[in-house]
Amino acid sequence: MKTFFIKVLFFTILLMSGAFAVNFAVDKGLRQSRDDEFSTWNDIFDSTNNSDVIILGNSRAWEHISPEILDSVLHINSYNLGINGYPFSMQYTRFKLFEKYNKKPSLVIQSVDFLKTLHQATMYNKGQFTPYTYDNLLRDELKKIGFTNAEFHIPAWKYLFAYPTIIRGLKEYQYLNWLPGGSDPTRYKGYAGLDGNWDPTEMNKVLRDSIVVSVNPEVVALFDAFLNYCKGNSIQVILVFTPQYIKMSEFTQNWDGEMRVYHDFAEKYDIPFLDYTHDPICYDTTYFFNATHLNKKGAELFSLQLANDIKEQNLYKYEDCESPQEPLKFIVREKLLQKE
Amino acid sequence: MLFNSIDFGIFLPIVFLLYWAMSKKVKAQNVFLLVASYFFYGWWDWRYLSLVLLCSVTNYVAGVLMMRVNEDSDDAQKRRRLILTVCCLVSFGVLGVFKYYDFFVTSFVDAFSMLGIHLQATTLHLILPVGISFYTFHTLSYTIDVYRRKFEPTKDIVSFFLFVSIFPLAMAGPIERATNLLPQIYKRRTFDYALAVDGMRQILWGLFKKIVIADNCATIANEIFNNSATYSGSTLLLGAIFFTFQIYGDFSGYSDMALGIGKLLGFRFLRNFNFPYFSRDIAEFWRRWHISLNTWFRDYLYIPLGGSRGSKWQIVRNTFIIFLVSGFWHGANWTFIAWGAYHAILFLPVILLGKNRKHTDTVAEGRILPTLKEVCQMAVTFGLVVFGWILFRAENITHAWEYISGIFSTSLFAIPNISPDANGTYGVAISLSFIAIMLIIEWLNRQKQHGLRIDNTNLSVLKWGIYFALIIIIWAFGGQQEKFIYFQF
Repeated sequence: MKTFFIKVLFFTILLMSGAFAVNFAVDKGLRQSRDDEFSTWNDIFDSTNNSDVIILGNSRAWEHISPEILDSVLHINSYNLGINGYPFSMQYTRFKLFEKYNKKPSLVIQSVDFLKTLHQATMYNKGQFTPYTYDNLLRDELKKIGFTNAEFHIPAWKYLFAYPTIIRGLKEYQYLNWLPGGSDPTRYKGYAGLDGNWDPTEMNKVLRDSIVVSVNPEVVALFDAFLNYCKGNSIQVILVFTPQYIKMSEFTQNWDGEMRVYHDFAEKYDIPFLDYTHDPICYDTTYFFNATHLNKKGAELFSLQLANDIKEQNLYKYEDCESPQEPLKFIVREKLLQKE
Repeated sequence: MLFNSIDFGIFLPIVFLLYWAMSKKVKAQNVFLLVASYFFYGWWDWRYLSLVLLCSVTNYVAGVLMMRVNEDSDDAQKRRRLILTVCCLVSFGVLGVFKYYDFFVTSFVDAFSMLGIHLQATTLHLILPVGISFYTFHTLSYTIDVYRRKFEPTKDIVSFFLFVSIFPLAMAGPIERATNLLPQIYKRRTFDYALAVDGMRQILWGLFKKIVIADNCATIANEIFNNSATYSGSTLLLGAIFFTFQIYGDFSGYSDMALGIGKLLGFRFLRNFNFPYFSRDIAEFWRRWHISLNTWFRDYLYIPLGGSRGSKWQIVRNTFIIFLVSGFWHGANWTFIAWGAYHAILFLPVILLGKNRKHTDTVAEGRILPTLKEVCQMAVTFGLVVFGWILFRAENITHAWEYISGIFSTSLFAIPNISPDANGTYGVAISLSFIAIMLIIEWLNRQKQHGLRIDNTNLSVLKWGIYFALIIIIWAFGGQQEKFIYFQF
């Protein structure tokens, strides 16, 4: 019995030491990664992001709004914090983490279609969170999407069954970066325009089933708390409903009810709401890769329009902001559309 | 509490330490193990503990009553038979209500609606208690053996209740026999180093088969079976092969873990699998697959019916009965019955020609590689088994028919193409690699109790290297946790 215990103990110690080492190497590697979501998370956690303007939302934020174009037109320093596939609660956590590790932004451009995004968070692209699980603020949010205490406390447990993330992390680790492959940076300041032609699958599903947007009181209350926080901390907010293919709006059964919620927030907090759901872009499938997402061409055209609207309507009262690059010539968007 | 869950990872070491701490008294060991077993079962749903208790009380009382029957009286045998009948009625009654009631009602209504008579019926929609088929059969083997005077009934209520609910076997077997397990429960267990180490190895091998083989294959098989109409014949065939390995990894992995845990606690449970995919004919397959259930049916159904003695008609009848009942045991669905019938048809020629015991040895015994003839025999048997699993996995008979028709279409020779939702080519390549590793390891150890029985080397470094390699593979390449298939039975 004694021999058995000693051997099991020795085996466990060896195993745990290995787990610590692997956990350390993979974490370290991923903290250097510029791949996809890691680039955004690392920009937040590295405390090197000094943007005054941040863009918040889901995939319809990070795929639709180009900080490069906003910066050029508005002479600002912006960053897109949009996160793919997660509801407002995760977007809000990202905002709070940005504030925690970086300077407070002066403007938030909030992409609003949070009523349509899944209310109940699911574990989507779990690997993106793994190197940052030491942060308590993030941990609280991760528990909601199914992370377990074991993943926070047992070394390497968070990488269980996640060989793509493990391999990616090891490749990026400084002592193992001789391995083939490595980062493939696809995002610039959080934004990535996606090349792609119109795929009618999502639209056909909507045409067949139509969409019913349910107003979740918890999400509405959280959004209210967010706007209240911004107001109390002198952070300007602009609400934006970015373009979606027109039939998507037409086939949403309670479309007016959904839009009413956003208008009510805008009224309550006296903030602008830019609604692009009937913009000319929305009638042309060449600007979309599916019913809810613009392709790169559409996204850049839309970003320009957004920047021009913010500028023309003087929606952002900014001071002391340094533009990272030379401004683009102010372009009238209608001309661009005519050219197309 | 699943064997492959973190809860069980905490539960088992605590039970192990406390259990061996009280190794001086058998009574204390048994009481503690009984409490631990009820805790384990109740973790899933404590309300269903009442069914385990009902099953235990019924069979315990039946044993005691049979013991009290005066053997000298004229009607002793009649009274014993009555006790057995009542016990069977209660046990099968509970099983029938929870597992088969809805199936019978809907089948009855469907049959009448085909005749133009539309009946209204109420179904119960009860949750199927985990392991009910296993502990019902497990317990009945005791009562039937007592009735047949093969086993002395026990008065020791703790030992009997532990025999029914012992936690490594509670969820999905193996279906134990009183003749094997109860004597072990009566005796004080002493710690056996070699047995415990072998148990640990068997648990590790079971985890590998469940987490790496079954769970990875499940992702691909589920995608293909759930969207079978959209896939080519070659992809459908691939899906059936993946399910074949999924169910093997899942169930034999579970059984390995159960046996390994038993060894850690000083028990030697009945073996449930003996490398069935290395069988040379269907009879050999059935001697190697789910051994505890098949021997149960053999001893308590097939032999009492006359077995393979008697006229050809009786042999055909008995073969069909045993396979149909075995199919129906798996679940209340026509697909399981069709699966049973399919295997009965495959089995018939073998038994009618008297060749059902042709391959009782291990394939290529004493050699590393099989002969070409053996390879062909194994390939044919494997192919036949694969088609059987299509019936087993399909949602219903129509789905099974469409799936099989899909395989035999012109697209059978197209290059298989799986949706990225199932990890696409990457997932397939990884799963195939690990299946190959499993088959090689099991082939090399096919004459041993399990795949990881490394007792031909004293090199500790090599052994530990193998353990660490397996743990790393499980950690990195495991599939998303799927429930054990056999829990639903």
